[in-house]
Order: sequence, then structure tokens, then C-alpha cells
Amino acid sequence: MPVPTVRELLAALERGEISAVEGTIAALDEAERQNPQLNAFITLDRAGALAAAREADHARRHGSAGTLAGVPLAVKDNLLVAGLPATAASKMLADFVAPFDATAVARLRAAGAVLIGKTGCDEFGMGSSNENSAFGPVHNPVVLGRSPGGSSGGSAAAVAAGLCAGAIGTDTGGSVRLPASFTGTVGLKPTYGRISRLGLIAFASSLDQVGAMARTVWDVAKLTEVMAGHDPRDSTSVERPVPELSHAAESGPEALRGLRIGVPRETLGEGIEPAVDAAVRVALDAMAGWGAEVETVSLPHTDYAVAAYTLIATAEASSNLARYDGMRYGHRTGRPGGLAETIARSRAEAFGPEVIRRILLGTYALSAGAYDAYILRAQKARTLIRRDFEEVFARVDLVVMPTSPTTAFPLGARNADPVAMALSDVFTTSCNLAGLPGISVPCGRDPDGAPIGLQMLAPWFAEGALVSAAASWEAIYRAQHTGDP
Amino acid sequence: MSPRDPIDTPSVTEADVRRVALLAHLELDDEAVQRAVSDLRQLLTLVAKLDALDLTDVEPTIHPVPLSAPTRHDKVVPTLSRAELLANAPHSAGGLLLAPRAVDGGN
Repeated sequence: MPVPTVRELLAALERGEISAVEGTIAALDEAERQNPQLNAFITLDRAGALAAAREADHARRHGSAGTLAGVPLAVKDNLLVAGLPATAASKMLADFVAPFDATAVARLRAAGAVLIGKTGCDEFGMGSSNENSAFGPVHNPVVLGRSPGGSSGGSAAAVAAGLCAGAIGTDTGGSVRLPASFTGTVGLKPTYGRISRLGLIAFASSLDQVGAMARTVWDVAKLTEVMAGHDPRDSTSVERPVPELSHAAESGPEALRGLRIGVPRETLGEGIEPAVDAAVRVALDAMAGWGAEVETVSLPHTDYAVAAYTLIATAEASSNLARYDGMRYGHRTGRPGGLAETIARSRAEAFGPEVIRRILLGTYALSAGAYDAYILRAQKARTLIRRDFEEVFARVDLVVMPTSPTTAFPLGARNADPVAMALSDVFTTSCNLAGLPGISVPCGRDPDGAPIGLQMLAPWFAEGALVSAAASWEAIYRAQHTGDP
Repeated sequence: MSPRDPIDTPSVTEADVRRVALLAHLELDDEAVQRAVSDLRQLLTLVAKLDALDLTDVEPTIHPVPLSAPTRHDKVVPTLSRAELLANAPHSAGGLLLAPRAVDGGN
């Protein structure tokens, strides 16, 4: 039996129809039943989850329940949950136990959420298919044999399969939005700096953001609202008030009236799977039917985003992953030599091929003689990409496009081709490079039943407008597809 | 920074990969080096797309939000204990991390 949505469950808990313990047991049982097929979870924490559920029931009986009291959530395994393994899906951290909670996790706990386990992902967040994991690939529960997308594939699969009410992922180049698109769920990456990165195992520090994943816009809005806010322990966390996103997510289709929507000409037509192109155009027509003003815009540097992202992300990753030397934590080789030899051997043994590939590219691009030709150019291209959005948002309120040019591809289809895999992120990376908030919401299925995601981008710190528009679209879509999960 | 002359498949060599692997502290066997040569060439071909851009007078974006170096009062606050910090260490004894020798026979 699938776990209800966050909102449905909160209502049932408030009405006393179910206790947090009962809901948590149901979620854990469902996760244990389906995990052998999906491999969505690396760790399930029955004891910890039940303890938290008992506390939530106690708090509710005494009138002190937090806003998420008793809601079972899953957490991507590159975020620290104190006392639980944090493997980042890597052999390097296979035995690492988190000594503290990530700030985002601590805020969910403080709100009474029940954390049932840690979900699989691409190793250190590096990948778009959840096939780069030392713990095996995650499977898409909606379409057999297909990737759930990555790198937050485990969280997406867990949500789509109803193993939890919601989940937390991370998004560096699309890793919340792409899996949401591939699994027919909702994924929100907030503006860079909205949610603290303390306790997020770093991949690319100027791009990484924590993001919520769930089955409805209201749910992701609520989770984001709880996690967001300044953290004095993260110097990149911004000091801005957090809007009431769950309130913004109450919008119906009528809220679209007068909303100016820009559709980048670079994101429809040639190179897009016909079913994706058609579904997005149908969605745009429907929104126009409710009074949105839809116009074609241009993001002329879209075609350069993956190249810029590849250089910047791998350079930052090569620096961030230098800490894994097998000395203070992580894998140390069983064949040690001198210090340098031990470090080099430990790293080569424990990192998977995609991680090694990215470290090598990043190190090469940063090395003397190469920096100006690669990194500096990529950072300047990043400026042009940002300027594209500044110009577009002077004219429109929202940018709408497909989340991906394709639906979920078969497992094994792209993991031997690093370039093809990188191009999976062609429509998501610009958002990270610019630091914008973006959301993926379902907008249809292809002839094989594979979900199609509609991506909306808003100006910096305009998450309220973003979730409002996403909720409006969701209401239209659900009215048209009442049979969909 | 004007567009550069387009380059064909970047000429990454085995020597380049071995040099970069040394910088990155990665011990790669010969097979891994060959794979890396091929991978890097493919990826550098992908990123060579940026050569077509005219970046004259464009400032680099290093970070999406303005960075600052916030300070706090110099006050001792509770943190993790030594035991907690060493709990994940591969080798420790007497409250200290143990590591291979770096001198006298080390690299």
C-alpha cells in the first residue's frame, strides 16, 4: 500500500485516523517489500524511525507536534543523518557513519519528521541515471528497465513507488529535477543559498543545492519551507526571509491569469523527443487557456551550458574530493606503502570510474597552462548564461520548458558514453550555473508510459511565484488525468 | 577573449594523464590510463564548444551569490568530541590518527 502524500498523511494524523507509529511501520514494510526490486534504499533505519514516530505521537497528544510530525521521509545518502551511514554511494565512504545531522536534516527532525532511511544515488552526486553507484543501480518504478534519472534516483524512486511521503535530494546540474521528470514526481531546486549546504557531502560547491521531492507541489513546498533559511555555519547560505511556500502552493489555475511565461526557442522542436515536445506544448496551450501570456524567448547560450557546467563542476569536484585520502575517514588501502602511495592507492581503489573520470578532467582543466583555456572560459560562459536569464526575466515572470529532451532511457543505454550522459542535463544545468530556482512537475506520458516533466524556472529568490505557477499547472493536469498516480 | 581557433580532438596523451593522476593522487594502472586518455579526449571535445564564444570583456562568474567572509564572536562553543571525530578513522590509537611514514623510507 503506497504511503500517502505529506499533506494527506498530516491530515490523517491530525484527525487521529492513523498514528505516526502505524504510518511509519506501513512505510518501512512497503520499503522492505519493494526495495529488492527497486534498490531505492541503501540503509533503512527501522529502530530510529520508530523512535521518532513514538516521539511524534507523544508530541501530538500533548499539543506540541511540529509541522511535519510523524511524516516518513527518505534522505539521499550524500546528506548526513547522525548515527546513520552516509556512503554517498561510494566504496570510499562505505563504512562512514555520520557524526552530525546536515542542517536541512536537523530542521526536518525539529519539525517532527520521521527519517526512515538513506536513498541510493550516483556516487558523490556524479551522474544522471543512478547507475554510478557502488551499491548497484536504482530502478525506475514507473517504467520497468529504465533509469529513474540521477543523481537523486533513489529518492525519486522511493517517492514514486510510495515508499515514503517525501524525500530529500540534491541538485548540482539537475539531479533533483531530472529524476522527478523521469519518475512522474515533483522536484524543486531552490535558489542557490536558500538551503544550507552544511552536512551535504560536497560535489561542486558553487552549484550544489538540497532539494525536496514528493508527489505534489504542496508537499515539496512544505518540505522546502521547513529546510530553508539562513545557517550561520554555511557562509554561502543567504540571509533572506523564507516565504510561506505551502501557502503559495494553494494556487489554482486562475492564478495563471496575466502571468507572463517565456518559452525558450532553444528548448522545443529539433532534438526533443516528439512525445516530450507535444506534452509541453499541450501544457503551454492549457496555461494560455487560463489566461497566462505565453511568448517565445531566447536563451542563446543554452547550447554552451553543458560544456561550462562540465568544466566548472569537475574542477570544483576535484578540489572537494581531495579530502578523501584514507587518513581521517574513508577507505584506506589494505596494501599501504609510503604516505603518498597509500593515499593514491586508497583513492584509486575506492572511487568508481565516473568519479575518477571527473576528478581527472577537473584536475587537468585546473592545471598550470590549462586554467585560462578551460576554467576561466567556462566561468565567463557562466556570466553569459546568467545574463541571458537577466534579460529574459526583465520581460517574463517565468520560464517554462521540458525538464529533459527525452523520457527515462533504458538502464545501460548511456553509462558507457560520458558525453551522452552529460547531455542528459542539457536543460537543467543553466539553472544551476545561474543559481536560479527550478521545479519539475509531471505533464504527461510517452507512448510507453514513461513520464514527461515540465520544468519551470523563476527569478532568483522567487520560489513563491514558482510554486504558485507549478501548483496552478498541477491542478489543470490532475483535472485532465484523474487516473494517474 | 575572442573565439579561439577550433581544435580537433584535443591531444591528450598518456603522459598528460599520468601527470594529472599524480596531481590528483590517483594510482592508475596502464589499462585505467588508456581508458582515461579516451575519456578525456571525448570530454574535452565536448567542452571545446566554448571555443566558439566571444568572451571579450566578459567577467567570470565564480559564484552565483556574492560571497562574504562572515565572522562570529571568538567564543568557545561545544563541538564534536575527540572520540566522535576519530570514530570513522581507519587507524587510530591513543586518541591520535595513525598514518604511514612520510619520511625515512616513505615517498
